[in-house]
Amino acid sequence: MPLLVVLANVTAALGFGAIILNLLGLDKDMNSGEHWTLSFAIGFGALGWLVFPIGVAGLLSVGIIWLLLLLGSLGIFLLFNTRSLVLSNNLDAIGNVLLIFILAVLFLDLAEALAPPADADSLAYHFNWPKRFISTGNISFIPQAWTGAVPMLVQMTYIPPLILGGETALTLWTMVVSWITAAMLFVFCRHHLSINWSLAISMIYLTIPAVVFGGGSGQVEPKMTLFVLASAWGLGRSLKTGRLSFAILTGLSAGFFAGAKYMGLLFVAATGMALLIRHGGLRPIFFSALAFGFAAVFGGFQWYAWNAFHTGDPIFPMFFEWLGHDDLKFWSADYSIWFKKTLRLLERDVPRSFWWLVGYPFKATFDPLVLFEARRTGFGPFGMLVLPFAVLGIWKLRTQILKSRLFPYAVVCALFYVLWFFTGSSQRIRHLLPVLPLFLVVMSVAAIRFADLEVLHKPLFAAVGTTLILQFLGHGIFSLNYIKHFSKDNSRDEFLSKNVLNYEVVPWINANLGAKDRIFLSERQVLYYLKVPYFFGSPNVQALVELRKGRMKPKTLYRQLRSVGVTHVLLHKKYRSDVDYEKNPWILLQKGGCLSNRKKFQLRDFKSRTLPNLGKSEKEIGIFTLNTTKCLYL
Amino acid sequence: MKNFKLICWILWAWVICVFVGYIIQFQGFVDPVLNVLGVS
Repeated sequence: MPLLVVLANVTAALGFGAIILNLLGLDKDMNSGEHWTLSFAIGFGALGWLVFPIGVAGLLSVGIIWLLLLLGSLGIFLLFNTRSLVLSNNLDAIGNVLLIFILAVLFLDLAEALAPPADADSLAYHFNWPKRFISTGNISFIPQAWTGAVPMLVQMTYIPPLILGGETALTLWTMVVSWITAAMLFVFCRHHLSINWSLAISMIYLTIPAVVFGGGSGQVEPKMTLFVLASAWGLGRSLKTGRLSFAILTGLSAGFFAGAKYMGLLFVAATGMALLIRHGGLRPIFFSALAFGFAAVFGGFQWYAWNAFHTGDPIFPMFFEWLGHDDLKFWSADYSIWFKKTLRLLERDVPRSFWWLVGYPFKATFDPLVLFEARRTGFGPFGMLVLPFAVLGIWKLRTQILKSRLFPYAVVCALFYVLWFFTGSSQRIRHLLPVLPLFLVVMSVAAIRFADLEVLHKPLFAAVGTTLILQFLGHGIFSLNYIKHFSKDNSRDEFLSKNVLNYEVVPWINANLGAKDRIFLSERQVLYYLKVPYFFGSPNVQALVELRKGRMKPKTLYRQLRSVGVTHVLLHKKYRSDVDYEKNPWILLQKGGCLSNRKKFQLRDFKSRTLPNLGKSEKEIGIFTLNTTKCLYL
Repeated sequence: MKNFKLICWILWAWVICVFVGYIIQFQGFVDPVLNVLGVS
């Protein structure tokens, strides 16, 4: 059943995309490879776009979702009338070796897709919100900054597989979407490169640590790549032909990106600026920009309108001090100012200067700061290895650059990077992942052209070969947990205990608490698996319970916990020399008789689920009952 | 191309230096990797 559901999702996305391309009159201007992959990219966005109003109307049911997929799938017949892509070259020995490697990667990704989800962010929100929406049958506003009240177009596409095929269909779907991204990259490469080079670049992409980390999980960045590629394709054609339908495609895809993450707004700005490169007078530029703008707004407006309706701030909580509703319970202007200051410390570690703009990729490749998350989940060495080849290639072909189809891609990449760096976005490298395939195409083509012109292939082969081997080994190590899970036939709980931090508390909570209880916890990675009501206690997402360091008071804390219906509290017992435990409000609540211990767990803390020995320690976690009759702070 | 040999050497040197520079940051990972592979 999960496989059938995933197939239905794929055909629906393909069908919706094919219908849109047909309505725009673009399906005659592309080969079949482009037609299929672009259809999927646009249809993937359209699917997420359509699920949202269905959910808001409270119609999330098996029948309605099947109907939606069926309607979309009807469009698939439009895909069979384009000229075929020139892929008919027989593979040589190198091509066959690459294909075997790719099949091996497919096997590794399948192992992950068939195992229970274990990525913390996915369990906290990417998979958790769709699961909660399905359980209530409707999409409701999530009163949480940063993780809840944000654009969720990609997460909307998780609802059909989850509601129809369960968890396995969901994890298979995330894997399939990431693989279709690689297929789209292959199609882009084939315009410029041989089949072997195209396979090699696609495989490099599939094994890049950030893709290995996020591709099979609910992380949205690898999926948003589809929108970037579709938008860039439309941009290239729009600049060349001046046809408004291409500008609409560019805008719609960029809008979908904005509907999937706030960062997509930067992409809309980057593609919008790139659209102005066009020659031919102000009038056509104006109309292209207008078509682009309308399409972008149409593709992305839903979640901004949703946020504005519920909080007053369309980009919640960015402008909350000025635009936010005064009577909001879960957030306040004071919290918003504090949040932005904290976010700066949490998400940015290098100054926004020209030197760091240039230096960031070098720092991220060779000696990344912890905040970049670029060591185990970075972009690998490929970009840096081929850099001089690409620079020499660009220099060599400088007279042809402006006419190249790759030029707008390069402009979009550069503009997005500059905007990302200077607007104060999170400096985690994976936030750049959506534009990485475009960057890979541009760099690889420039580097390979140089090597071809100068007959200087050996160092380039060495660069590509070492990258492939290194990344493949890394991918293999990452997948070991999953392979062991299936080969040893471990139970679900055994697997999750090894791969999800503090998962051991989940079976106990689910068995001992009920629908009338509500547990307070700050363990985001277990939320998806909880079957009882919970309150996620983080100062970064809500103001209902004051949890900011230095501002917590036991009496207020007790009162606020009661006001949000908390009956139980999950606490860590971490002794640190720099913390004054005599003043810790949680300790004071325990001493005041407000919290009584119900269950203690001795657990191990690990830094990496892939490499548990990288850093581990013991810790104690307690589950307490919040007393309502005997408490000093009553 | 002028200085073909020199460019060739520079490119080789670049590839080797970047590769070594990249993997050197993972030296602390050797034991944990061997551990999951069941070697140590």
